[in-house]
Amino acid sequence: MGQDHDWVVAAARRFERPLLAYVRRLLGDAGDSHRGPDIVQEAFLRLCRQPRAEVEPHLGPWLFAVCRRHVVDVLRKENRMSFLSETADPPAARTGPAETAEATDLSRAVLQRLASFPASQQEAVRLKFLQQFSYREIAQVMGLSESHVGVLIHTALKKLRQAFAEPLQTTLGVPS
Amino acid sequence: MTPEELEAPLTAYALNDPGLSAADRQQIEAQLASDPAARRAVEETRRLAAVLTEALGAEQAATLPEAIVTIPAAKPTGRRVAGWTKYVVAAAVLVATAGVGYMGWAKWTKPERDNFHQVAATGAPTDPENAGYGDGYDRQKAPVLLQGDARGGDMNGGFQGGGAGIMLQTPATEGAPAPRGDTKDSGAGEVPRTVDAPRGLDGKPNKAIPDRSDPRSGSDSSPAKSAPDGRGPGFGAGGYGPGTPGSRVPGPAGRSGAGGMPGAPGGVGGLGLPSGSGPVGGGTIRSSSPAGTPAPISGPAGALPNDPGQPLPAVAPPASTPPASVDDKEKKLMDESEGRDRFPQMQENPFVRVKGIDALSTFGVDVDTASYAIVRKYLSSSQLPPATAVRLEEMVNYFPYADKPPDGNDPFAVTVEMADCPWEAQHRLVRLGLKARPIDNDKRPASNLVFLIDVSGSMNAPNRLPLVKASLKLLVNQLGEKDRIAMVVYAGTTGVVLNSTPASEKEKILNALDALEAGGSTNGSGGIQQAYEVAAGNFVKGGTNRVILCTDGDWNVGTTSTDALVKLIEEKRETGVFLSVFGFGMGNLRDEMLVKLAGKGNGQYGYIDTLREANKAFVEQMGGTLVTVAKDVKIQVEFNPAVIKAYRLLGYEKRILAAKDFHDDKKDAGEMGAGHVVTALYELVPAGAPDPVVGKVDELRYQKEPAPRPPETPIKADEAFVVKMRHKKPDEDKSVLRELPIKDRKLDYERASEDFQFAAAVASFAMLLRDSQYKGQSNYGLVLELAASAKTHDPGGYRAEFVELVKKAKALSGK
Repeated sequence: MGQDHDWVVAAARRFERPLLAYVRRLLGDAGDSHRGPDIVQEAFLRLCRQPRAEVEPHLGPWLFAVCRRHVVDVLRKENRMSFLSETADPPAARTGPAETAEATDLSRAVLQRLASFPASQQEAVRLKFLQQFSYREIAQVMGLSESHVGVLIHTALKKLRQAFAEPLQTTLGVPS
Repeated sequence: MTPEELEAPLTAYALNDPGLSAADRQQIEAQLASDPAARRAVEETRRLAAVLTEALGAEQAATLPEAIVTIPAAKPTGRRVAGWTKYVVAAAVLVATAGVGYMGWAKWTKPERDNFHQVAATGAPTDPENAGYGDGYDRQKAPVLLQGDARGGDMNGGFQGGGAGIMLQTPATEGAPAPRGDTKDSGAGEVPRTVDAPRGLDGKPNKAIPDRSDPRSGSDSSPAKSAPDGRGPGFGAGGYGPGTPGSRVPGPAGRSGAGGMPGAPGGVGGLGLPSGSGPVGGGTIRSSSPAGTPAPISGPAGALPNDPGQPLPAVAPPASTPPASVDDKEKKLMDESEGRDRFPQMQENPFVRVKGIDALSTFGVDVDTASYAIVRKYLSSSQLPPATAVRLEEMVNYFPYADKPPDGNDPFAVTVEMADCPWEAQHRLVRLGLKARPIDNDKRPASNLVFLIDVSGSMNAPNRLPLVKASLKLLVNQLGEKDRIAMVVYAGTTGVVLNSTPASEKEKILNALDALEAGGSTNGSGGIQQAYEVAAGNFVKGGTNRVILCTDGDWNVGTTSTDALVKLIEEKRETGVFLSVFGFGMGNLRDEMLVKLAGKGNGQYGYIDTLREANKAFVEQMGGTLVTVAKDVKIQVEFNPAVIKAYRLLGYEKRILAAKDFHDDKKDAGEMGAGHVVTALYELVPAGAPDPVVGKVDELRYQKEPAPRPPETPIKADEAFVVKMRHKKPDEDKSVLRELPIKDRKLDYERASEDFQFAAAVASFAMLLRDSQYKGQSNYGLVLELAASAKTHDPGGYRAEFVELVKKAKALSGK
């Protein structure tokens, strides 16, 4: 053994927590349910059965896609598919312009606003900026076309840009 | 088309999405030239992207649930391995054997065979014939077979199937900790212990402890050895780990080229993923299902809602994909999916038995430090770094050490120290410290520097172009009238933005730096060409002629073949123009390429994540960055078998040389800049100590060991090893040889120098981050202890910072 399983271990180290966060968000779990961990464990079990050379170049998208399909199955059984549908807006609090201006923390305000967007836009945006996936990889995970992903991300970012035009003007040049 | 569909490509462009077609890109660039609103949109999108990346990252870090599949860090040296381990080993050996095909199979006795077959037939959802006979080519089936065992297995261990099933179900009932496939000292009597996997590196013979001239080790026939470029990880049959039956025959990798199909099933055991196990005593599994209750998915694969055999379209291509060319293979081996940062896969050096030619360990020095800064960047954003980002020697070499500079004319001095190995009580640890002659700034030879700066769109983030500007300003402020600076930028177009200018005209240079703006896509190779032309046009004989590349390494347009770039850089190196590379930013850093470019360009590779890091590279260690005092520095250590049984070089995997390359002055090796310190660590197994990794190997049927000869009189029995060094002066082609024999003075660890102790702490930390199989008793607590007592000499406060990083990693890993 030794080296031969290292890649799965490495994959688990790197992805299990992001995957769990992703799965829980899709499920709408508060974090007390066992379903999230089960689904993620299952994905890694399945990974063990894959030929490394084939999966590894798309390891991240592969894992996310496996988890997502599993979530979709669970939700379908519970007739909760609307959670993933594009049109349904979750009843998140909308942030008014006044509130935005008050928010001292731009990050928090942006996240709040993002939470009011349709689920698929949120998902695409999170895969893009949390996982740094390319459009193609996001398309593979979500089972959509690349151009559809492009529209989802564009629509979300455009709304955010318009809502935060002013604070965004001042963010460049701040050393991290 | 809706307006969104029309506008979407602009957003894709702003985000540098690789899927954007060249035509779209061109059209957008044309639009940007004429449309200020579009330019603003792109700019705002990029700022928003930075805000989102940070905000979502922080949100996830704050709400991240507790890990479900925790991988144990400190790992059993075997003394207290739970009973189930043998089943895991059994499972691994079973599958590995299945993987090597008929020859391994034919060796078994009949009852085992029947059992095996039966298990496969009852459990595996795949064709039992195929699975049962261990089709050597079909890795996909072997794992499925393993899975299938969950139902059909019995508990006899050994080869008798069952391993996987037991692994999946037993731990909970036994209350044992989650399995991890540590096969050393598993205590499984009838299960042959694994032999450490020999690995090919740079096309050189695999080194594993079983001595290479011994046909039984199988490593000579390992296909990994013949991997042309050696970066193939060499998971051949012999190279593949689970020793015995398998290691005698060429594995599947031997037929399909350069290996690369490691035994996934081992991963099952290794991961410890029994869904059926609940929280267990001291367990590493924190599943929320109650103890002993089988989780819903503990059954065989077939019971899953999604058929595992059904590949994802485009994501998992069919197994029949023809073997990729070596080049593609190399690319595949990069962890492309880990974010978009790409790190080379590097197999750790194994223990090598001191026997015959293997008594020689040869490598080139390396002064890169990027890996440590990259690890720091990950940890400070609350993520454990991917194992592939951890290069032990770069982490150790990041720190200043107090070694004495050379007397006289030698370009560097050598310090050798040997004491107890803190993570393996019976072993010895050796620190070789090479300290290059430092140079005063006013005695520095004249320099001709060309800054080659990536100003592509991807550099438009606070920690990229703005940090590049601030960093280079630090450097410019150190330079004087005998230095000249030119500046070349590259993006969609390439251009000289500052002709070679005396550094005394600071205002002009700083203004040019200030005026840089990011935008457009990257054509790295065009930029490098131009930078070399400028450097050649202003060549200073006997001085420093150097291109300093600052990039996030996102080369996405033009001839971006690494090989072509490397060739160019090698050519220019011969003309006396060297290349140093500084990486900035995270998210699409092409780490593996930058390492390679700097290595071939006789320069160093650094990663700049903060202004403080820039200060280290460009102010504190400017001499080292600019002035090369020795080139092609090679080290060869010959160990004395009378004293040392086996050795392991820690790190330097990317710089390993063949023994014969040591005296070959045409073979490139590492450079040392003024004031640089290079540290190399060896872990030694003294003669008389137990073997670190050798497993039980059956007696050979057809070859008998020669009768033991009376022991030869040991030669120079008081010497443990001799260090030989070769180097060239920066402008010469002939190397100079030095030798230094070393005796073991039996120094206790406590009495070793602080530098020795600190280097040991960093090495131990690196092995933990890699989850190295050689980490022994290393754990975060030990690292903190080792480092705490070695901080008296800490100019710059880097060691104190290290301690903070270790604490962070400890917290993140939950151990």
